[in-house]
Amino acid sequence: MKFEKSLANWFRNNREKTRFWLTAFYIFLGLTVVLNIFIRPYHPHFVYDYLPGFFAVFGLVAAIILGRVSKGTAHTFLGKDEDYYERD
Amino acid sequence: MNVINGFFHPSIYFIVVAVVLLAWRGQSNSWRFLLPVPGLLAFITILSMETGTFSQISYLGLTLTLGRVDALAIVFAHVFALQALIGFIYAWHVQDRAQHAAASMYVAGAFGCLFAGDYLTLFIFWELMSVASTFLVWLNRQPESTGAGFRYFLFHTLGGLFLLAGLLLRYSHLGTFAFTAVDPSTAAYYDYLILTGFAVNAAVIPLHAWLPDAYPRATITGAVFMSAFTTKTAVYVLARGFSGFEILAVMGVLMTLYGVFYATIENNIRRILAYHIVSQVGFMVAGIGIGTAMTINGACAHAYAHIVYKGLLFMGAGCVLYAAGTAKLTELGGLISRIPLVFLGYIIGAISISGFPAFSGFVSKTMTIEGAAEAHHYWLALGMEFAAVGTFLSVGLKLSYFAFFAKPESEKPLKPIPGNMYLAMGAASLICFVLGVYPKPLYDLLPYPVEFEPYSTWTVLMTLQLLGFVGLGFYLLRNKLKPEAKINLDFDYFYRLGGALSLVFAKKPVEVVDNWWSEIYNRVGLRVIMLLAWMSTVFDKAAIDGVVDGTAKNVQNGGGGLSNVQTGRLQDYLALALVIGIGVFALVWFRT
Repeated sequence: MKFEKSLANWFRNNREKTRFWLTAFYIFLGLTVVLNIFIRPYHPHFVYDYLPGFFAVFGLVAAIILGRVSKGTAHTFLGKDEDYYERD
Repeated sequence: MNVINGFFHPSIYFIVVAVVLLAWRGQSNSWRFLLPVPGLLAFITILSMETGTFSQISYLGLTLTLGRVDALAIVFAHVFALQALIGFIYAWHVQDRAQHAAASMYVAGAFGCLFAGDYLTLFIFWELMSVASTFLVWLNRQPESTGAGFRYFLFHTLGGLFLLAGLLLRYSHLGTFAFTAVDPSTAAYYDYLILTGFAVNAAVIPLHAWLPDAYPRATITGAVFMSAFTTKTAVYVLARGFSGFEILAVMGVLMTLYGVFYATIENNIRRILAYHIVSQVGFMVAGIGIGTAMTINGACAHAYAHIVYKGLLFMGAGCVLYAAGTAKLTELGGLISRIPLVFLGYIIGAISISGFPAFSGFVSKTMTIEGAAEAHHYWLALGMEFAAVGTFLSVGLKLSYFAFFAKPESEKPLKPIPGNMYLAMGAASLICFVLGVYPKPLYDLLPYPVEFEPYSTWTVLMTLQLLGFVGLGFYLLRNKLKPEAKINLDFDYFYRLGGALSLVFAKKPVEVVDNWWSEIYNRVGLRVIMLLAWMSTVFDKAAIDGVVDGTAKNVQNGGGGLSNVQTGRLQDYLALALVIGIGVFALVWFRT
């Protein structure tokens, strides 16, 4: 299929442009924080979410906590070999 | 008859198709043109459905209501029909008619539950779903599926027994089977029994482990069906019977967190998605538990959106499994330029579930969270916000990164993917997008009037900021989050432990009795008293061999779930029970 081919090529080429996409990503992140200075919630839900960048910090911290805690638990006692239940 | 008074039960389409598929003889493949028909007909039927109570049957002095139609039932029926249509398009290439018949009966059961006006009718269809979906696991025909199917079926039977006990006790107290809302302040113990039965199907922790156990082992196409109907039927019955139960609000939020926690560490892509169902259903259960008009609307909208995008994600994962022959992230990687269209479909599902603006999760998830905050449940809202972070981290980023981007690139030869699978994914993607940009038709379906506007500069900005920084978190942790070829313990550890214990328990005493009996038999001997000998022989044959030895053997085989002979027997038995059930249903239906 022609569309599938060209799509595959586009993905293949862009996977090499790591620097470009990372820069674009950082600019995007910066932009959301800068805009947040001017655009604020009408009704803050939690006490601190009227502060610019609250959700940036929340998202980053939550992602790191979740990744660290879940992987840590998996490494200490939850993770077992794949044939764990098949063994006698 | 039933058509004239404005209600035709959509289950009938699916039952008829299932029966035709099973009865089909001959070499031709033309039966597959039947597959999209019941979903399409059901959809048309539901669009033209009027609210009211239809198809009431008197049976043994009881009144069974097969057709209670109201706004709550219609919103679920709408998306059930849609997903049945998409699911059968996705399964179009499957040659095994039994799989299609099982899926069709399963959907019939789901519709039966939606329109059931009393607990007895609900129970009948509830069990139909449980039996039919067990076949979707077994028909994968892998050794691991046999065991998983048994555990699935046993656990659902247990849940069904809770429901049955509750509804019978309720009847003995109240003298009615009517399925109506329970007031949390006056709920009695039998209501909690029913609630427990519902909670099993809604995968409320710690009763959830059947879900990540069975779904990854079901057939590729079966998992697409299962992801939609069992848990969402449970959400529907909870919304109808148990809204405003505080415990559901708390359990729901715990589910949202528990699901993403496991989704972050699992290796099998279908297992990640299965755990993530627990998380998503948590949003709905929490919405129901909070119980305001806004959160119940949120739960229904979320169920609608969720069925479509979770189906899409399971279709994407199914395509990967179909093409590469494995669902383990550790054996995948770099698939993006090899199956770019699957990636495209999957990523649309992923950004929908993560709640990106312009896709369906955004217009439903925010409604539940906003509703929780407006009802002053700030901690619950914060918990759900945390789970939303985990959703994007596990399903959106981790799964897609390690399957489609990560290096080294998988060298596995890929089987070509049938066009019908792409077609189904395309349809689901389109629905995700249309609902996201134009949610009004969905909002109009909801049981309460909607005053919620998902799109404002602030909500869009806040969502982009939140998800963007989750992306940054993933980028920083990407090596830490690398999948490992491991499985993770969950509550199914205890189910299996229980199974193993009961096996030992049943084996030991039975063995003792058997040895004891043999000894008496030898000592008394045949020659002493002919009559006694004759009687004992009869007893031995009929009772001991038949009951005791047989029981020991059954338990042994059933517990291990490995003996093919025994599997065959139970499956035959279930199939027979199902056929009888359909027969009864047909008789009852045409009598009215």
